Amino acid sequence: MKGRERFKGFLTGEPVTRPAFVPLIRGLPARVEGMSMETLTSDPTLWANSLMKTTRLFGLDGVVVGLDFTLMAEASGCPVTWHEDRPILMPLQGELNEAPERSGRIQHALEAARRLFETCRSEIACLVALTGPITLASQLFGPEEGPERTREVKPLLLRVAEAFCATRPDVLLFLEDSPTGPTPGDRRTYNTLKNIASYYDVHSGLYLQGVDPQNLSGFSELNTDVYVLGPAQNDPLPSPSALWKLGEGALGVGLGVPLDDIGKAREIIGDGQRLYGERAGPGFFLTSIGPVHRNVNLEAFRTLADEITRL
Amino acid sequence: MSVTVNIDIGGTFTDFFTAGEGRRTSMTKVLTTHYDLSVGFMRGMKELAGLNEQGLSAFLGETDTVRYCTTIGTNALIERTGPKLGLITTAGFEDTIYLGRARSWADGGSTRENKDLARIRKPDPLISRDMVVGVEERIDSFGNIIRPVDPEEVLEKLQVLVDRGAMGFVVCLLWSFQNPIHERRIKSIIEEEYPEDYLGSMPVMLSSDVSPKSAEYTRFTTTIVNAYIHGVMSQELSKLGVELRDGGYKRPLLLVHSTGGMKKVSRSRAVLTHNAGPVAGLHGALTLGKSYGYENIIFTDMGGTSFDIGVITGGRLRTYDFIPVIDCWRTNIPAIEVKSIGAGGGSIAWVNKRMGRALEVGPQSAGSMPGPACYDQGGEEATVTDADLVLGYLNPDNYLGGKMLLDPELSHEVIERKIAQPLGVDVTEAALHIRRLVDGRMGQEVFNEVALKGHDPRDFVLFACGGAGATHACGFAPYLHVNRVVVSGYSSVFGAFGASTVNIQQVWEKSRTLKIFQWATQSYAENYDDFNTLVNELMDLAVRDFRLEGFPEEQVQFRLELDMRFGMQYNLTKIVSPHLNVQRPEDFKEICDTFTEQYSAIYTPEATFPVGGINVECFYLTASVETTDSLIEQAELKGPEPPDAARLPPRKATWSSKEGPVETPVFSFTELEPGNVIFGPALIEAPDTTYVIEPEWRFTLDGYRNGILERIEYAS
Repeated sequence: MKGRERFKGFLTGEPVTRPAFVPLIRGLPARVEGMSMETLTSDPTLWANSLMKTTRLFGLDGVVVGLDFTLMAEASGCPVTWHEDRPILMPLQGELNEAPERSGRIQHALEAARRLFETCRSEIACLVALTGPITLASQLFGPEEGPERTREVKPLLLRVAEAFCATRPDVLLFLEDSPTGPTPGDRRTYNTLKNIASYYDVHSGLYLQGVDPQNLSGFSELNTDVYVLGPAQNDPLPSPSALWKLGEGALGVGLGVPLDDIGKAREIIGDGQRLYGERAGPGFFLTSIGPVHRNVNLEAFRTLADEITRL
Repeated sequence: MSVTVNIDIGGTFTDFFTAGEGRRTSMTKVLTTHYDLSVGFMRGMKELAGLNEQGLSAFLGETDTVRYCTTIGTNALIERTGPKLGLITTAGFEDTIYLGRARSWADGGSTRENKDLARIRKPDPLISRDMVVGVEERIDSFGNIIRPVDPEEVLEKLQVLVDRGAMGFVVCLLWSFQNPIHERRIKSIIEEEYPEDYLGSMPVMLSSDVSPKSAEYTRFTTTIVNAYIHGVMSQELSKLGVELRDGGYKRPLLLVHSTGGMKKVSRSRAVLTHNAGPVAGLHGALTLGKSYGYENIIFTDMGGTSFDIGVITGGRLRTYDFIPVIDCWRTNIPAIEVKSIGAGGGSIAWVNKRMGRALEVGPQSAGSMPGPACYDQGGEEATVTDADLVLGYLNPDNYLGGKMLLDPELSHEVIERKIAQPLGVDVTEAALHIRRLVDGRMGQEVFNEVALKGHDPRDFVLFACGGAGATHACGFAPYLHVNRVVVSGYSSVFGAFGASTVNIQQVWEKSRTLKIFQWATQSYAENYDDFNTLVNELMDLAVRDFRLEGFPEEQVQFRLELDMRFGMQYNLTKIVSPHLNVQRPEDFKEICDTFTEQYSAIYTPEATFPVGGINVECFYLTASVETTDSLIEQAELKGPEPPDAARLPPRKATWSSKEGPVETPVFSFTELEPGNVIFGPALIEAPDTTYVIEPEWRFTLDGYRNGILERIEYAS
């Protein structure tokens, strides 16, 4: 069974030989290619090739394009500086960009997605990750003003989301890194984003990190198709049961495992399989707990990937 | 079990209708997925399977025919996604397609665009001038060879086109419809140079095959348009065929044609698929009209993007008596006449500042993406659907049977910002203005289409179809002074329903001038051979083609139409010939009488001029095999009072700005019984549309489960 079929099985609820493994690869491709992320993300050819190479190297079931919290903010008008090969956002200067899909590194991400998905759609699952409206508003207008100005980021997100949907990924994953839950305005923005994704036959998903566990239920009400839980506030390893609760009513959840700690990963996978068996409800795929950076322990990652293929 | 699935792709929604022995009809609508039409196509198939309580493969496995009104070709023309073509023509005529004919620069443009003379410009040609070469050859108007083709010269010119990037060739020579030998010679030269078994093989289209009719410009453009969309359609339809086969469908896909018939994909010319949806709808109206005994019908279809108008007179569909325009190109394809204007549920309302802040609606549409603001897909323009929602006519929780939730706040917000504030009126009044304006525009267009073509609208029954037809029928019908409006139970998917009523059919055509009434002797022609030989040639072609499709000759029915004119006149009038073959002078007389009668009906009896002679200029032989059964059965009528189950909670709706929102009764269409009568103002919610019964109108559900709308003053 190919990675693509496995992931499709997860989305349609059909039986699969084992859960798909689609970690949230971010800095690792730069290490694989032996170059900086800054260089890699400024060229769609390099970006697409490195993602493909990394996916093949570890035998992964899918690829995620655009997994960077700063991409969308940069495209909206925030300058970016690089420090130790990590992008640092500077405050918004001037007006918001009217055509963010043609600005900054996001235009390269779009092109990389177009090329990657066109060539490997039949083999592996194709996912796009994009900063969600709550986080984006906070990045652009600051944590104080952000929650009140999410309406302003909506048109930007719609343009970029539609452009990515046109590349026909399987899932459009919105990344939120916010302790607070969504406001009614955020819900409306999410509704629109989901409607656009649905028009393109793309499933919507939500990746959450840094969220106060008290506020998780608010995100659950956004009713996206897929939920993935990253490190929470004061809890680097949220429990699988919290994830299952978050994903109640969704098509499925992405169960994050630590790539550096095989023992813990095995335990979480076991818990996930048990929950999946016990509760009639969402299916699951395996992913990383948070984005995979370039300094990940390759040995452990390789071992875990091999183990997962033998599940 | 025999099941037909019929699909009609529109600018906003793709409609599905299925009918078959021993099962209920079912229908559904999905948003048209312009980025890949097959996505919406298969999405609708899955929904149909679900409605029939089957999985996709079981449903498609039981399906006998899939009939498809496609817009792939039209989209390819609009988006210019066709291949780079080379045109080979007679030397000296290389500029034919650029010179055009008369106001060819305005062909296909909206009235607004055509009036803007300062900014109007010729459309970019489908073949650029550097991709046109002329070869020295000549055939005269009688088909005699004056100068033969020189193969060396053809090869040389061919190389020029290949070097410039040609991916296919169109060969259009002078008088090739009289004698195609030179076009065929050039084709064989190309095929020798680029054989089919090589990767470099290139398609070649001949005008004598695609359009063997007189008049160079339209013959050239018809062939070019066909060649331009051929590859794209072929590719898309193959992909769709694979998806259908993977889904479990084992039979060929049938394409509905602009002629009102259908053929397998493998036996269809691309250019004939143009405007198939509206033509299928018109055919559906003809079929439905027969159940009532209506012979004069005005067919209207208000969808999300366009408003289509067709006229049926004397129980017959009207074919074009002039030149159908595809995108912005005049062609000479045989086509049923349907007019489309840019007015639909998705039509955008806007304030024209250059016209003193006048409110305008359309022709631009919000389409399926982003769609009206209330679809919540990022739409930022006020549309007719938004106005209907603000007025309370649409139920936001029960649009398309609840499949699509609408957001009234977004409609309110956008109408306020884009229309109400600039006009200085409140939101409800702005919404009423939008509705009245679009209704008025549609009513006026229909009136023009009927009255200006010599008919009295009061002699007609109006069929209001399309997803928004039932919602707006009471609004535009008064402009026509018709007494009765029929809103079919299938109105929201009427193009797809119409596809279920069309037959396997094709038109074979050939230009030939025959003087059947001689002006010099004032007598009918005595030579019948030319007439009969030509008709028999066309019949042979038709019979051979139908045999290849598996139909014996006995099943094939023929109809002969003739383009005719009085001697030395320019305009042609198409008639249905009372005879297939001519055996005696009286037969020619009857043909001439039919022509004169039709001509007088159109241009008044005073305009006829038989003493100038009467010519036949073009022959159209329609061959068809009837494949459809009568779908419509009449149910027993119950009393006028709707049952309690049909009564839904009333809601506020606005019918006039003076009164504001008033509590309006709401009914469920599904629960209504034949014979029930509802007086306006009222709303009837069906799973696929909403019937808006305006004050002073009466709705009756008849035995066919069609809604009959009557103005109370006329009805009484």
